[in-house]
Amino acid sequence: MLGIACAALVIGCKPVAFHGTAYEPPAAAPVVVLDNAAGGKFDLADQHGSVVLLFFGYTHCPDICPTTLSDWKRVKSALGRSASKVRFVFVSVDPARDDPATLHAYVSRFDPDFIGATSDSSTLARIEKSFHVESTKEETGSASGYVVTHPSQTFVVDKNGNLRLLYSFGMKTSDVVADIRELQSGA
Amino acid sequence: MTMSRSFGAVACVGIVLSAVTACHRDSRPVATSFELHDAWVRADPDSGSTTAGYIRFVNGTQDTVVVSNFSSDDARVVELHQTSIDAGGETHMTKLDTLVIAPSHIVVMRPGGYHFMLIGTTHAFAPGAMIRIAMHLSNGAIVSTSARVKQ
Repeated sequence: MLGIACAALVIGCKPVAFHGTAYEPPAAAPVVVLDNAAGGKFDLADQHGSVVLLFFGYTHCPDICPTTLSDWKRVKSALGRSASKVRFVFVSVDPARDDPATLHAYVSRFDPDFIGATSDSSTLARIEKSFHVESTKEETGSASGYVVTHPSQTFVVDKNGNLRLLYSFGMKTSDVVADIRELQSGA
Repeated sequence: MTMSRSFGAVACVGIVLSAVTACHRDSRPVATSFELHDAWVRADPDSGSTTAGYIRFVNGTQDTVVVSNFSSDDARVVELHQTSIDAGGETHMTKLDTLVIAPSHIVVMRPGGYHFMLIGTTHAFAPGAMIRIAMHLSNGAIVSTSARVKQ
């Protein structure tokens, strides 16, 4: 019995080899309270029990943002029923052009369960600072108007509200799915 | 992200690039022309918006090809852009005037790198539809291709 207990302990303590970059040690995720399309609030603290994927972008972004949302769509599909315990949250850092309704329509193109949320500029700046990232408007001379320099990574918060992983742009679907399953199993 | 490789290197690693880079026994590619492959555009359900597209350019000639302008009947303006990601993970987007494809080189547009932007789309871009894209070269020639709309 003692041997089995020890073996179980060893297995239980085996470090998980995540595909994403792991935060060590995991720490409580920053406070994130944003406006959503329903006129209510998205509060990261209310998502306990679900794994949360969080990305800072904007709807006029033609390249990185739609690619990330398309990637998320594949991840959600691959997760199957367990996707019900995953929240995909797209935070617009361009509140001047992205009101909550616009944002909701945009993310719904990819999946109706995706969450679009935003806030005023000062709140967004505070939240981004707490994630050690920032966004800035830039003029490029494009006919599409200004662009926003923004983080390319996806942040992952576990079901206990801890910031656990960071994904670079373009992570493989199978790797993200494997990590989410690990986190859902309590890793 | 841009990938630019000499044809010889492509032949050596055995990457299949359709008939364009099929090899002779001396491992040289048969391509002798400037060709466009795998063009696609991201779907967009709204008219009047902006979306991005991607093409793989194969320059099998001995001359540098300079794409100086893009156009399409399906958008008010088409611009060439490049996304880059810095060491801190921040994305930056730059509007470019030209795209240069060196002799015997391939340039691949892909998410996170070179792309063309269709600004002021004239209709919804539904998955499966085809969008015609024209490229104006610095030598005065115009080449075009059909880009499939994908989600």
